[in-house]
Amino acid sequence: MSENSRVRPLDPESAERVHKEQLAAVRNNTPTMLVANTCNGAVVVIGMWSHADISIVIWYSVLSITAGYIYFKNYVGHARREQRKDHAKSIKRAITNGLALGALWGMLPFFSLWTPMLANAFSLPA
Amino acid sequence: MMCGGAFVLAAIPSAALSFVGPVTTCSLIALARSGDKEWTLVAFLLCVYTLVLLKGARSQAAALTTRVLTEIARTKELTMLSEMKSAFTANVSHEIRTPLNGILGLAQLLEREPLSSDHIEIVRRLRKAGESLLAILNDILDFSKLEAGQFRLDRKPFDLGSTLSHIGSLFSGTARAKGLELVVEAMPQLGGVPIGDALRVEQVLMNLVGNALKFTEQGEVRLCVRAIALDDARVKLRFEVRDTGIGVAPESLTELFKPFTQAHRSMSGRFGGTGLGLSICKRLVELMGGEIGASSKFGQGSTFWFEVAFELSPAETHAPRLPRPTNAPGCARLGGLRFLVVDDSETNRDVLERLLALEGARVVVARNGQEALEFLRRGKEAVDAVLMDVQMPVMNGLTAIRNIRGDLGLRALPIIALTAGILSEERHQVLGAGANDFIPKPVDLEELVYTLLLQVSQSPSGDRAMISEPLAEFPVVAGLNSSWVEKTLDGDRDLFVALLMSFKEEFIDAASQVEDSLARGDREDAAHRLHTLRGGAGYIGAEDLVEAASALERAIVERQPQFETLIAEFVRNHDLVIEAITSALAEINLSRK
Repeated sequence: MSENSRVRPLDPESAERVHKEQLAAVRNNTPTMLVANTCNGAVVVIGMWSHADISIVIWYSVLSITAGYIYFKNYVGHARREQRKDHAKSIKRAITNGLALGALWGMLPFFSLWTPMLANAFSLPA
Repeated sequence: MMCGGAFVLAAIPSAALSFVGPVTTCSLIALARSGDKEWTLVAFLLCVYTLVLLKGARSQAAALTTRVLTEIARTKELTMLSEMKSAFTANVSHEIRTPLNGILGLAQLLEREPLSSDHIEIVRRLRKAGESLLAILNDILDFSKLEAGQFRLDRKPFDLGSTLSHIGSLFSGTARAKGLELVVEAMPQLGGVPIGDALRVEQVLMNLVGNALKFTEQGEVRLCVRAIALDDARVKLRFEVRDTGIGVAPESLTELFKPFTQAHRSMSGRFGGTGLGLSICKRLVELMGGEIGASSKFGQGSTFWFEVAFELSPAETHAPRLPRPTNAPGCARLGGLRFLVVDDSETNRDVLERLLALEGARVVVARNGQEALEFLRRGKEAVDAVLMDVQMPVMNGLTAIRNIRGDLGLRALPIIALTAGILSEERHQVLGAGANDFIPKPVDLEELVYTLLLQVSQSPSGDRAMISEPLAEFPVVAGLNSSWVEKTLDGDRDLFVALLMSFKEEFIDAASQVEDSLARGDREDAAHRLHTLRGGAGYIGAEDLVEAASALERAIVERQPQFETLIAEFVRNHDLVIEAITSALAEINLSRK
């Protein structure tokens, strides 16, 4: 936040306008973010292919499906209009989406721990 | 990168944290526990990259907030500038109109003085120049109001027929003077009364008809109205003004409705004008939800049209309207009435005092609202109405009006505000404060007389009884519609008697004067005399005389070859009315003695 806005609280009208702009920024840029997530996931899979196994493919599939689900849930047809109307719901959805994607990316560093466990559980080559 | 998520979600801090939190936490845990070199590197990179991007994302969010706040500040600044512009416009209007009021008022007074013909011509030119300046000022103010989006339209049922006849009567003199024929075609049957802003419809029509007359040297100007779509609730009307004038080149037609544009540059020199009229018309019509256009053949004439849809209210029976009094020098139309004039400008007080005195009224003056209140509180001298300026020192007009209505309890005393302001807000404020009507400055004598007579006649007798003598029985005069006059004047016997006296005094020789004019072949003078007489006869309810005079005037104006029967009918009705008034006045005098 800027220095001014910290010192002086916004009047309700300005706060509402800022809030609307923030939501619009998130709403308009989220599809690009979803595409970027999917592409970046692919880069990680390719980069780590020699150090991973089938489980990273499963991770990537889950990431892609989640991104697709978020897109269709929020940006297609009726959902798009609904989202524009209900701001509280939009924020809740943004938090849920962020949490889902964050959790998926957070899983990635644990593959070195999971791979032997998964290999044992499903009798896969380590 | 995937951490674009942080960028995108940063606009909503909770959403950004919901993304960054799991990634960073998991990466840190993995860093601490993982033994695998490659995966440790992945965790480290994720952690650092996420945190760096989070910081960038926060900057992005701050930039967005700053941008929005800058936009808000700019919008507020523009709104403030627009308000300042409106206030400036209102002030300029007030400051220009106040001295213009003096100039035009004094010119009106001078015109009535016994001057040589050269001097009368000079005064007439002075008045015309003042009126042109006022018209230009009005155009510029209307245009700036429309530009600023401050124009509000009224939505009231209005009598379109009377709007058209008003236009006809207003321009008939100009048309006659140029040797043109002005034809106003009859109104179509609508099955209801249109709801809209009559004043603005009239303004557009006046502009189009005025232009047509200005640019036509011979032939005719025709105004017609057609219903092009009609159902029970709505009607779409097409107004057309056709002329046989100089016409407009096709390439200039589209330019006509642009501000400060005339069809040809040389026109502003030859015909005058600011080039704002049609632009204002266009905006007004668009404000009414309609469209405007023109077609023309260069050198053969033009047709200007506009179409507007109106809602219809069920047909109402309108009470006969008081005809507007015509300019009648020497006639004391306000004889016997007393008015309180409140104005801080000495010139304006003087002008009003003299104008009202010319019409036979007595005048008491006050310099501000406070003085007016004190005068009315003392109650020593009775007044029939108050003419109140709005902007005054010590106590302004609005406060004074509220106090007269509230503290003094004079709820029925007619108060007419004199305002140099033109914004509709000011006018609404004046009416909201309790004024019965307002007259814009510069004051036009005819409008002043009309408004005063209307307000005084409509005022309930309660307050006036407090300040004048008790009312006696309303006189019935043979040949006059006394019951209508009694209703219209709200039973004011004294006013009716004053009207009868002034009518008799002014029009006793009207029939012979009209006959003389016709014998001399001066049709214009005859038509003018009939027109003047019609106005006066309307006030006293002499319906047959009004009808006879109208028929004769129409025949004269339309240059019908035979109208002896109409003359005879007019003379007979005139003599009957004068005779009836003479005997009624004699009876009234007897009963007073």
